[in-house]
Amino acid sequence: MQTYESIFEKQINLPSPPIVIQKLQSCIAQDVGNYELAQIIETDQAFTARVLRLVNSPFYGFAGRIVSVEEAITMLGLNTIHQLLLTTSLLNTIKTENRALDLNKFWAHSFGVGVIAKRLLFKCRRDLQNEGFLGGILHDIGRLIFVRINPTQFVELYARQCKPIDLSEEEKHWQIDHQKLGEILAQKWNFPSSISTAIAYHHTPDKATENKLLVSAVHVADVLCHALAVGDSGNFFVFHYSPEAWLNLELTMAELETVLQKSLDEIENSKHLLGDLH
Amino acid sequence: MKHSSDNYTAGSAKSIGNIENLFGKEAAEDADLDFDDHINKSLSLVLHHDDVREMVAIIKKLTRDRTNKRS
Repeated sequence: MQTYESIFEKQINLPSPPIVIQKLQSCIAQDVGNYELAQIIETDQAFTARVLRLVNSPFYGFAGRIVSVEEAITMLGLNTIHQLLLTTSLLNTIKTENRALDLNKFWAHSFGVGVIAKRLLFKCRRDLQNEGFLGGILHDIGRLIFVRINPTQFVELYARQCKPIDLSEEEKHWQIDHQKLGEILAQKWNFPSSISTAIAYHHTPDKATENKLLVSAVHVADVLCHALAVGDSGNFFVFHYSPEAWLNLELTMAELETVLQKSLDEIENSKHLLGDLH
Repeated sequence: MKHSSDNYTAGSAKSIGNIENLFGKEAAEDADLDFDDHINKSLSLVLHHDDVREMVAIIKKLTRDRTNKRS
């Protein structure tokens, strides 16, 4: 018997990862060295350029000093490079040309949530900051798939500023909500389970049974990004806030102010990084 | 609607949200809402939480500071 997910996947034809990404994933599983991995990435000019631009962006602070992919892997770690390539490839693969959603606004919101989620984790789990960034960037990816499936329906459902659309409304309309859809896509692309969990529970963090801190960071970052008017996720309203998620982050309001100040500076300084993400 | 008691303008939402400067004019088209209106409407379903109200206060302060710094 087919699962609900597999039936749905056939209907919407979820994209597959590019060949280079697939090769990279298989090499990582075999514990291949940095030199060999760099050679795989360098077979694709666009990927090579993307890695070097990303690693030399203000976001990572190497300021133009990294000149080879191998060096980039050494400096940032294979995990980070792999996740960045996976993310940018996914965003490129599912980008849509229609006018149902302003992609610049959408990426601005996604990027903002990524930056804020990363910084919200500075106190309790610095080691999760990269995952916080990626979870934030990808949290609404399911919504982008809705646009891809049927842009007209998307516009009808999300008529901006008219009424809040919660997950149950989406489920009525699409038979699935954007959290679940995003989770399926992240799993198909073999993203780490922490990222698919962050996507799956960013509106309902209290329901997550694992990676609660990461999920909490993405949830709170999403609320803050809406409040700050950073970009547009396609849905104007915040329909849920979890006080428990905020408590999980163990931050004071004074620390939050610093987090937001630094996040806004970082967002302003990372224009070209955003350009690389879509 | 402008609030004369502070420095929020329609442009405040644009500037703090980086929208016009960072992501182009299109992203700022809905600036007919000023920042107070934006925040009150967008967060209307969650403003009953004390945390959220405190967060909003911080965001408004940051907005005001950054707008003043630029002007």
